[in-house]
Amino acid sequence: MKNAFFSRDALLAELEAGANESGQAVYEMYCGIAGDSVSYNQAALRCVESVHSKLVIGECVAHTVGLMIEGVSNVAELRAIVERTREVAVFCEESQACAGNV
Amino acid sequence: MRLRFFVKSHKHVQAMSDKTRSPSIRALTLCPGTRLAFVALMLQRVTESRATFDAMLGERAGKWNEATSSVDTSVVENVERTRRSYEFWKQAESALALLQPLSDATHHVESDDCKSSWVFPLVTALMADCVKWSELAGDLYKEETKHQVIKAVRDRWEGAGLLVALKSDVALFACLVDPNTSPSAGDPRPRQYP
Repeated sequence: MKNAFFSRDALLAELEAGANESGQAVYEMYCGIAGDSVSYNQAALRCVESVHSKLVIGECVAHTVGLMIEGVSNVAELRAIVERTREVAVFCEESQACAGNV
Repeated sequence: MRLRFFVKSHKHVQAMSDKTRSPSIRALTLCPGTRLAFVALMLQRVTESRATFDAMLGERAGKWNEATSSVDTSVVENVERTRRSYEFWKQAESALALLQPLSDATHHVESDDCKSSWVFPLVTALMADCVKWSELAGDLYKEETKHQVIKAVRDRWEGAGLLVALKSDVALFACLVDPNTSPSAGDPRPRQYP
């Protein structure tokens, strides 16, 4: 939770600073925040939501799709294929003979 | 400050790290392994280069043999076995067919002009892709593997246990109110973004 409090304070400070700079309210300046799905980030976002309830809180889609790829790649059979492909790629990269061909 | 690592990934995080780092903060910057789009790229490069690979490791590959003479024999044998395996190439192509759309989606949602309204149709299409892939994969993969693949994608979308769901009212609402993703009944087809 220590990390969540740190993230919450940092986020609130950023929001306030941005709003003060433009002379507008936070909800006029920002429409929402997106964060990674890490638990302390989500906890921090919920804290921010409780302070600024008009903001839309969401998840980082790019990060989640990246984690989908990680989940799929970690399935045992696919992981074995990826490992073998990596072996081939590393072998080719390290060999001067095929540099530029593969 | 006892910050030891700063993990760089998204460009906004990178910008933030550049802004935050100062000589007084000793931090080692890491490029995280969660950026897995390179898996599809690696599979693509290797499968596309199969013909070149065959030519290099085949019977006419005299120069190649000279070049690899310094490499450990077991490594060469492993690679040679992989090259000759028909099943490996089929499985690699199949894995690429599964991972390529996911990789493309990552690049797509990282673009500057990405809209919230794209999330719902995009992930729904990705899930449909995974289901289709499991049907088309046939005997190349075990049934259990196919189920695990579909589960991995579905769990990230709908949430499961400690996994936070990406599926949200915001994504659905954005999709519904955007005329480009939800055309009205009179429109012959969805409008295109300029």
